[in-house]
This record gives sequence, structure tokens and C-alpha cells, in this order.
Amino acid sequence: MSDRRTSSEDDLHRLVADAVRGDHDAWRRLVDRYAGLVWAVARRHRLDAADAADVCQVTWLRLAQRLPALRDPARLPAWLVTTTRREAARVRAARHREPPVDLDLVPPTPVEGPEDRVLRDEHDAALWRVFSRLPERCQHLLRMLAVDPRTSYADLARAFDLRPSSVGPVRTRCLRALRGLLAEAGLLPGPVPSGAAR
Amino acid sequence: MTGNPLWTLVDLLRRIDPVPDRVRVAGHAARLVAGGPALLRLVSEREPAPDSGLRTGRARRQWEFDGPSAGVTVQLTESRDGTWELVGLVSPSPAGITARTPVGASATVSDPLGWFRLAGVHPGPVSLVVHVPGADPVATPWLVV
Repeated sequence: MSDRRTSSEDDLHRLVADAVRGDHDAWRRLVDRYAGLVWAVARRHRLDAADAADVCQVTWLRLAQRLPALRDPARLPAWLVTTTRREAARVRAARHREPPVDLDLVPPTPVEGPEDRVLRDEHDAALWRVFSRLPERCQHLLRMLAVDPRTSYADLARAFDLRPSSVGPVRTRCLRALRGLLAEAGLLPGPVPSGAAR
Repeated sequence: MTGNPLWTLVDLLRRIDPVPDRVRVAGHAARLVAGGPALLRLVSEREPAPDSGLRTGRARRQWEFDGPSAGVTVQLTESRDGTWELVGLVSPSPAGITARTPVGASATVSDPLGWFRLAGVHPGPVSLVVHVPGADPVATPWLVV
């Protein structure tokens, strides 16, 4: 087995070691580095923002408990994905068992969400409409890659219940489908590649 | 239209559901909140049966934790006033039980048989710390209630 590590892995090893020694700044940088990944995994389980926030907080609390025992810092992203996914699934299952909200108690005024604020731009809204037509799994995969491009295929496989060898082909299919839909909507510059759609 | 639409979409995806600041801040603070006692192991989590034996009203979930020095079974129940309660059985008994959350803690002592009840639990992350006399405290993993 090779013991060669990338500079990114070296940096992660240093961050973890410093955080274990009690360096709060290292802990903060560790959280900032993976906050997007943890958030994306929680949101993938269709939790509302409050439940997703709780799940993320529990993930960081558990990491703080377990960090001193973490033997291989390179496994940290995988641990974060697995822990977040399990807790999100648990919370989602628990919420489904709870009685439905009494609709009479829901305020009638629609609340503006983050998407509404971002999608005021016409071009963004057109892109979003295209993105929303993708299969759900493609939406989540591309969103996770956008939020944290460093996410490894192994970690994506854990997040999506895929074999690691399937992540590359799934990603390719999703991008091909996206290009096809963008072309169909007239959002791709230049000639439309033949057979790009579907 | 300018730029590659794929990159524009990547930028849009990053903007459309960013990590809320409060989530990031909670992550930063986790290290200060979470540390301390050794961990109890989560043995099971389930919906409690009506005859599970714990003295509860409307029980929603039941967890069982185990460790070398203590074991605890706890139910999350809804009080008549709409708040949450943690009702449980700890062994050995009596033992002190602290429900810690990121914003504070509440504590009680079990009765001689091991029963305890902690009222007014807020939704969100919680971890129970068990204080058995003569032993180091132990804690459950953090859970969302």
C-alpha cells in the first residue's frame, strides 16, 4: 500500500492533529472545509432547514466527541458522510411517524425561501428550471459536487448508496442529461452536439 | 448569454442553498460543547410498544444505551403542555442524569429503582450524561430529538 499523500491530505492530517491538540482555529477550519458537504448530505434527505441544521449540528458534536480516536484522518470525509446520512435518515423516519401538521395552523402568507431570493434573475430561473427536470439523484449528485468539488467518488458512493465504480458513469450520465436539457432550452452556446439529449 | 452555462449552474447551485451561518457557527462551537465523558453505545432505537413498561403518556421514540459502567433506556414523550420529556430507567441506580444540549443542561437524580424524568426538553441535539457514584460519568451519543 502506498503511503504517498496529496498536499490536500497532508493539510487534512495537520488540521486534524492540530484540532485534537486543542487548536480551536484548526477545528474551525475543519468545520468550514466540510460544512458544505455535511449540509448537502443532510438536505439530500429532504429535511427542512431546521431539521437539516439539527442533523449537521449533531454530526459536528459527534465528530468533536470522536476526533481524538480518529485513526486515519483521510477517512474523515467518509465518516462525515456516513454519520450525517444515518442521522438524517433517522430524523426523516421519525418525522414521518409524527402526526401531520394541522393545516389550519399554517400561516396563509407564503414564506420566501432562499430559492425565491436567488431565482429573481431570469437567466438563473431558466437554468433552475432545466436543473429541476433532471432525475432527483442527478440533482443531488451535481449539487454535492458543486458545493464541494473535492468530494471523492468513495464518499459520493457512500452518500448515494452506490458502488464506487458506479459513481463515474452516473456522473457522466447526469452531465450528459444536463447538457441535453440545456441545449433543448437554448441555453447552450454554439451548435447542439448530436445525440447530447437523453 | 455569457460564460459556460455549466459553470453558471455550478455557481447557482452554490448560491441557492448555502450552508446557513448559524449552522456553521454551531459547528464551530461543537468542540466546546461536546467533549467530556466516555461514550455509551447505542444498542437500539425504536417506536415504543404500548406495553413497554415505562411510565409514559404519548411516547414517540425509545433508545437503549449500554456501557461498561451503566445502561440506560429512555423514551421521548410529549407532555400535556406540548413540550418534550425524557423518561427513562438507568442502571445501576440511583444515578444522576444530565440532559445536555448546545444551549444548556438540566439535571435530575433517578429514584432508587432507576426511574428518572426530565421535562421541558427542546427540539434539537441532546446527549444524556449518566453519573454513577464512584464511577466516571458516561454519555450517550448526540441525537436529534
